Amino acid sequence: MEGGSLDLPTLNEPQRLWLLLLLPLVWLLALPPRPVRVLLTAHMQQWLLAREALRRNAPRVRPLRLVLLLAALACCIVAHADPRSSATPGAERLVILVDASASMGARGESGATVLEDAAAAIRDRLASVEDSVELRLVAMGEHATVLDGAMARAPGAALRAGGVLPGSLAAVAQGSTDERTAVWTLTDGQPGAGSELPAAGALTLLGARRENWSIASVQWDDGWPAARLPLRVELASHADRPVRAVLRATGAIVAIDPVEVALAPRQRATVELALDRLAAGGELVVRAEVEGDALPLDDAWRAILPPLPSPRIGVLAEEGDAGRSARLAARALAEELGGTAVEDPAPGTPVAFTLVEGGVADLQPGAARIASFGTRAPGGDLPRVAAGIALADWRREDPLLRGIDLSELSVRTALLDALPAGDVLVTGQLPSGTVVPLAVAVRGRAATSVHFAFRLADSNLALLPAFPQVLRRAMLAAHGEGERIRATDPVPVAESDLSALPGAQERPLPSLRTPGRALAAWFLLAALGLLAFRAWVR
Amino acid sequence: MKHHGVQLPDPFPEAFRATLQQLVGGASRIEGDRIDATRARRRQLAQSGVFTGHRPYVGGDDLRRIDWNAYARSGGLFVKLLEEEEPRASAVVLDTSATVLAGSPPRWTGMLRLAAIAGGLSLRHLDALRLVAGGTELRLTGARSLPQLLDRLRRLEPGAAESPRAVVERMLDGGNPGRVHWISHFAEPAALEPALRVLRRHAVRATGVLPLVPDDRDIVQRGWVLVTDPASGRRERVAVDAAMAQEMRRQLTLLARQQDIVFGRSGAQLVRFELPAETDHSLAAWKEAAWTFRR
Repeated sequence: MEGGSLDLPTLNEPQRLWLLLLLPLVWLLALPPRPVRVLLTAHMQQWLLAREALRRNAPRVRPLRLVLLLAALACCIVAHADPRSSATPGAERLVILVDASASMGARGESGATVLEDAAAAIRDRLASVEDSVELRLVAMGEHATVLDGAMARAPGAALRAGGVLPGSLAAVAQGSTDERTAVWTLTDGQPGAGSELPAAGALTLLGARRENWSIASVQWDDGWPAARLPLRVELASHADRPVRAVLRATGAIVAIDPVEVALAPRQRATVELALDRLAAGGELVVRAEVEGDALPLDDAWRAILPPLPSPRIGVLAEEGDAGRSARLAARALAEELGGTAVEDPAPGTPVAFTLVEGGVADLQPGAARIASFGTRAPGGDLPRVAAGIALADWRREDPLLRGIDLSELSVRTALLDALPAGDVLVTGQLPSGTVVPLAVAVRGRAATSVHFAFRLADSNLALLPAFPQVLRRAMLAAHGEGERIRATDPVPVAESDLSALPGAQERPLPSLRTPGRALAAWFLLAALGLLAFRAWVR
Repeated sequence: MKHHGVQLPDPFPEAFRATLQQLVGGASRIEGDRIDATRARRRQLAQSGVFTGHRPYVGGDDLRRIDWNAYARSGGLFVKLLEEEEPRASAVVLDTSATVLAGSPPRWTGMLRLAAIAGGLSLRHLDALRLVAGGTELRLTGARSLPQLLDRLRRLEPGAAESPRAVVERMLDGGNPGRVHWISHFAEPAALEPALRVLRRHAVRATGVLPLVPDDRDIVQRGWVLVTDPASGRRERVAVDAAMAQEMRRQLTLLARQQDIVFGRSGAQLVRFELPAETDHSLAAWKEAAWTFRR
């Protein structure tokens, strides 16, 4: 009832009211049978005695009992039509947009993060929202999380702050709002969100101005397979007071002492750390510790360091001067890794990379971590040998040769038709003018092997300044992309600056549609009451 | 003619009147007619008879009937009463309750015809006739009054209900009715018994005549029947099946037995007369009725 008017119940299945047409039928069936004739008699007493002797009752219509029966039947039919009280107008769907960017991980005075406060606000507000309202919670952060229905009512464990907003909250809120859908945005209003605050729907601003210091950026020089890992860590202050930060690097490195850094208000400071990786690899954590820091998320930088290769470099080369260049190259590479060169390693000997100079060998292109020079596969016809080959070109965009200068490469003799199929790295021109491949890279699933058509002894490749870099890249490529350092991106500075307060006004959640309550049970109860009363009426 | 929704035929069509004339006028064919006629003539001429008592002389009495001996003893004028002094009369009591309209054909038509026969015979052979019906009484004498009797019977309308005892007491207040022929269905024997006892106490010879209609013996209709009592207006829906018909036959038999008991205890006679078909006006059909009223 509202404004003095009575809201009639609505019916979800009004077509079932057709069953009310049964009522006249029931009424007709309840009437006593029409007599076939009227019999005037002087023996009424005898008729009554005869009927009594046969224990037969006179068929009588009791109007009140019939009316009660029809009313009970009508109540059952109305109950079958699923009556409901009038619904409260409002949105039928509610989309909750939660800012789950890194800044939402800031802790307040109570120790709870802003995101936990948001989850509590959602839980409290949705407790009074009817189940009939369709719920969808979209948490936008490093990863977009979508929760529907009951999951959206208690999103606590599913929400995790991190990263930046992948899109504009305002655009999402605007796009989600329609006549039947209400949008509720919960955010800390950080300008680092990358967009303005939503103008559509309800808005709840959480969090407060806080002091924060962060790791703004980390740069490193991956010297893999070398163990040395230089780091360049940039710290940023988002507070108005100077502090001394302690920088700790822990994890898959040789332990180092913490470094203390003085941070001026709203300034940045760079710290260089010389780390030595452990051969087994693992997680490296660099953490900045400052008293009173509000946002732990931007205080740590994490990286996964791959294990270092075995420091053994194998070499298969002829003895004497013919294999000298290969052996020297293996020793130089092993020395760079801090390992040793193993000449003619026996089968099963663990080596990180093998250099093969000349000869005949089953190289397993694309499967073995090798670099071969003028080596041919066993069997088949003997390859042709060409002399007087001039360098034609090399693939400068290939990762193996990017930035490498091979212009001074000179090849005296080379094997023709001995290279396996693969990506051509270097080409040469025969005196006849024919261009032939001089080096190829065979990239397989497990490894990448590099094959040259000439021996080191038949060229000046080993003498070129770029040769050690070529070898190192060949070895790096042989171990694949899995040997790269995988590091997390530092939290953007805009997310870390918690000193700004949003200037927008909060907007309350509009009223949501409350469905009418089911009244079928009441109608059935009324039907039972009518039947009970009918049983009492005689 | 329609009463209570029942279409009643003319009770005295020409064919019945002719039969009635034969029944009433054919004295030679009926045993006892001659004797009765002689007695009637003697009553007019002689002063003989069995002495039954005296009554005070009133102006107009035949001076020959004064008992002079009694005058000598008492000094008052008295007239001798002889048995033959009281006129030989009969009364026909006709039940006019609405229930007589029941039956197919209606019992009422048969009752009127029986009353006409009884009345006609009384007018022809006796001194007087009293017709007691519908709360009124009609006194007739002589055979020439037959048309008047028929006219009165035709104008009777069932519907007036009067208890049998009240009918009897009112009739006795009018003097000795002579022989009483009570024509009715006698559906309520218990109510009739006090009236019969009063008649017996007054030494009135009464004969009950019950005209039978088919409904008195069997219920042939099947299905839902609205049984209606035209007197009280009561209506009852009754499902008539074989069991109900059988039970109804039993109840009617019990009723007949009750009627016999009541009449027997009261020293009266009950005669059940099977009414002929409504259109059957033959002499043979009604001869039995004439015999009934002569006995």
